[in-house]
Amino acid sequence: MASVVEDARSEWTAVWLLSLEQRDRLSEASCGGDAMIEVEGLTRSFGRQRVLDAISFTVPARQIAGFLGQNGAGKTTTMRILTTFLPPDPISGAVRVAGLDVTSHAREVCRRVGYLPESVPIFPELRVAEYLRFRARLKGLGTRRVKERVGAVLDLCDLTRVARRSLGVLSKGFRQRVGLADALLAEPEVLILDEPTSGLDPQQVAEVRRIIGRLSEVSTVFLSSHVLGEVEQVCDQIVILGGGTIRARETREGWTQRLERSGRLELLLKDPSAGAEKRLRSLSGVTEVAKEGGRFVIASSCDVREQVFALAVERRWTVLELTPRPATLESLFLELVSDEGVA
Amino acid sequence: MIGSVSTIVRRELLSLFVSPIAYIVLFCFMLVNGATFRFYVGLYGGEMEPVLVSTFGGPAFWFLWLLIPPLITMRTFSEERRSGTFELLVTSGVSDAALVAGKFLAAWVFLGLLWAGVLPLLLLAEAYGQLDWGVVASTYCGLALSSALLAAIGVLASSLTQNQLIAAVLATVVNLGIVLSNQLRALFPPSAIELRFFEYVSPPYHFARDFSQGIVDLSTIVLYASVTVLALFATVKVLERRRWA
Repeated sequence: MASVVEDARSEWTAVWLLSLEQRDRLSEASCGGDAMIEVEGLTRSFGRQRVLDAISFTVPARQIAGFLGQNGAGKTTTMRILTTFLPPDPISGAVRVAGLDVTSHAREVCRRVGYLPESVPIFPELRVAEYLRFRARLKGLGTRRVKERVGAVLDLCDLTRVARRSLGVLSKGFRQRVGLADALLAEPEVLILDEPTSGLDPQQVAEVRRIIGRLSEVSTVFLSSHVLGEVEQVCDQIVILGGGTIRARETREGWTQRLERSGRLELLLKDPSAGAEKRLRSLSGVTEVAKEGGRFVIASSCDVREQVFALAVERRWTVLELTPRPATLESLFLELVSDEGVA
Repeated sequence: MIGSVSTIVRRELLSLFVSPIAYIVLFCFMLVNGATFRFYVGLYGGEMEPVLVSTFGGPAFWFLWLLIPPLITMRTFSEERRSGTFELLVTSGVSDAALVAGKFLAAWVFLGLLWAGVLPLLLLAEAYGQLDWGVVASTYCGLALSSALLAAIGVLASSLTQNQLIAAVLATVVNLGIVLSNQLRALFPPSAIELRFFEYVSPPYHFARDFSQGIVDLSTIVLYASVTVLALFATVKVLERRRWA
């Protein structure tokens, strides 16, 4: 019995030391680099359910990273861990924000992070300016700075005209902007925005995107969104989460290449012969050929336009159309988050 | 830490006074106290000593004593957690201890304001008879100590659930148990050690024996202060534990 306990203890110690070693390694790495968010082997469980399974990613300073995933993928849990609201599992890897461990330096991390939760919670009885003053004081800003910063964020988020209105009577769009203003109060080095444009009208969405774009000049932004186009448009890096694991992580350029690689080629022939499909399939690099309404849709792992053209010349096919059809982020996203889509 | 606590206290008091609950509680409290005070003055004529003992030890007093604090504290954490504002408070860099201290102090200050509202009645009564201000001071000392205890219990109950009503009922049941512990004294002979225990922990006994007689016993202060601190410590632990759930 004693030896079982001893074994369990030594195993636990080993895991714990490994975890510490991992943290130290990350600490050294962070000193050399300029990553503002570093997640390495992050695991989080609720009861027996593992929501995050050893996920790793980094976000360099003054970049905008987009976090994509279906509902329940673990996006909000990750963000809550980054903001110190939730602790990672005890034997999880390391999570650092601005070079600080979120578990051992929770309060310092909070001071450096501006956080906009998914559904902006508010105190309905307070007025907008009153609420922002309260939040600024809570974040440790001095009296003069409180006045200065509240004025600045009211201007930046276009809230000056509703500054004296009660939060309880504001529309969702305004509440969202109040949440954003709150996140910006202490001029944080890192902004964590959970669905920043949800529930906003198109004009407000454009405005929030403009603000986020401006903020990335001084802060690192980590945002989650369901709107794929938005992420594609504003983010320098896109991280896709599915089933608690990272399915893909690419820079914007990387995504463009990936989308090109995953694209299709459409071929429309005049009176195609019976063996045309088989011949197209035999080209090197072609992975799939389907026929959709008289057109051949060719999927390939590389650019096969020249080969297709040469084949058409050789077989004396009359080509009416040869059109590259690039993949969309949406189709790629669905492919990646499906159970088979582990990258 | 002090800055965060005072910010939370101010916000809590502001929220209380912009919601109808504070005014309903104030109104009921003053009404019940005014009516009972008037009743005892009429009953005892110019005798101020029994008036004071009955006002701060009669059935109406214990009714208010156990019922009002849960109404004030029920929303402290329940509402924050239900509406999601708790997440914002915690991620703004405020420690759990500061959060608990701020909410507790706000509830305590509000209870203090309620009891301070009885003072004008006493000033008025002095026109009719001689009032022992030493007894008034010791009674208010007892009120301050017991209000701290009740505020701490209420804050703890509120941290346990997202439902305000459950928080209020839970705190009221605990308070009722504290008040009724006095009745258990009747079960034991005068020499029994259990009797000593119930005398030691029973607020009604403390009010009857000490506070309304102008006595403030150090052991009573230690008891109230330690249980208050224990309840607040438990609240901090509950908040920490909630994050793992």
